[in-house]
Amino acid sequence: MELTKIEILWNRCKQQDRKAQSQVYQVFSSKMFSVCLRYAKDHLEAEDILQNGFVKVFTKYHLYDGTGSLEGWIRRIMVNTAIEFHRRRKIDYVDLEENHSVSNQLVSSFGTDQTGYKDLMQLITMLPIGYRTVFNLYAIEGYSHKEIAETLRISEGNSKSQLSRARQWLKERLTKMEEIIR
Amino acid sequence: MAQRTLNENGGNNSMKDQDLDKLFRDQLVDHEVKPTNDIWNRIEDQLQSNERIAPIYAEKKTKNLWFPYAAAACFMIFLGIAYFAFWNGAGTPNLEIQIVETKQNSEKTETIKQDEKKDAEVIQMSNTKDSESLLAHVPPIDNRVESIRNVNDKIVPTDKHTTVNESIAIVVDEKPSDQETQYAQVEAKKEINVINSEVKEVKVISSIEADPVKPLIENPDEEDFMFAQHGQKSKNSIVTNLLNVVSDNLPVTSANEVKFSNDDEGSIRIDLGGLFARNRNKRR
Repeated sequence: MELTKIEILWNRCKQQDRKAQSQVYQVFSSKMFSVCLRYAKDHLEAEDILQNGFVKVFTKYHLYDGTGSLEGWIRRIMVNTAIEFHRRRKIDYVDLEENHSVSNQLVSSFGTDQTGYKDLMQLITMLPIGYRTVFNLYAIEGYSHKEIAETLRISEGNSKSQLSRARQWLKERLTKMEEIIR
Repeated sequence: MAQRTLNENGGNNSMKDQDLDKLFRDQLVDHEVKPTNDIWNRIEDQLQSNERIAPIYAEKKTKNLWFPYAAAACFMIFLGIAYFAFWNGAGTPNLEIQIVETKQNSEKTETIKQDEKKDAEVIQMSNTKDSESLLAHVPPIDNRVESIRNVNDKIVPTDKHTTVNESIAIVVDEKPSDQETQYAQVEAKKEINVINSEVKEVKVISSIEADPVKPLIENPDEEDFMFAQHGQKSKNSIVTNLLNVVSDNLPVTSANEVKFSNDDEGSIRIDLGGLFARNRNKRR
């Protein structure tokens, strides 16, 4: 059985081989940073999450038992780290206030290179935190409502209602964005 | 819920939920944003400090799992030794006395004689060779106590005479009576904290006829070269007590020639004075 390049690197990481760890970081950091940006309230917080996440990856390597891809495992660590951050700040996932002045700040970049991503990313970051987390977990990470309920320590019903409100919010904003383009 | 209906907004308000999800997911799930370079440095620093502080935990987890078991085993062994040292033997006085000085003879008796008028009391206590210490039946003596006397060369030996080391805060009332009055030597400087006394062999002898005076030392001609053993004011801790017990019970040093004690700084001190000293007649 041949070991892939990543597997070889990972084995060395487990021995605390700094060079190997650096390389694994290079491979995954950009993707993981994007994940962090989706959950964090701002760029700075995203960096903290990324940093803490990778430290966990390299110190708790024994938690990865080889089932599933390494990337998937690392991604899960990032998501958990992000959620922990919010937990520490006691963000309430139950009540959220909507920011009604949001629509004034929409800037559309349709038609530019980064069309889809930038706009959508912008929308996501404007989502109120509770909606955002649930939407991220469900729509993008692919968690089930049950998993979301466990992770965030809320009820499944709560998770569902937050998801639907998130979607509604996004749809409204999407529509508004398109109006701006016209 | 599949329909796309046009509403006044003319937009995607009724887009399928799954489509909405997909829209976002496609764009965002694998997107990459390069973080700044210093983040790796911070990660590295954190890893370094983790490894410095808790190298065992940072690396292998299976090392040294036997440490706690070894520690527990040592502790049990220690308990076993302590048990034998302090609570050994049947029928010996069971005492935990924090005596400030060390013991000398294995047969110790302390005699305070009381003359016929009962001015002084003789307390005779004998220990077996196993027992460590003893002491005290202080209560009955107390009422006769007046002053503490430290008799050195005025000791009139009797056949029951022995070396006294225990610290008994006993006071003997001296009455200048006939030579029948005997005094025991009491080292009055010490104190006894009797924790648990079960003195089984304390006899109080009310009046005893004195024997003719006998010399203190065996070989009077050696007198010039001999030195008495120090009045013991030594401090003892558990370790030194233990060592003393061990040395007392060894066949070679059964005469209590070697004493352990703690000095002011806590170091262990070995007194070999017992090898040389000749305070008094040793009991045969």
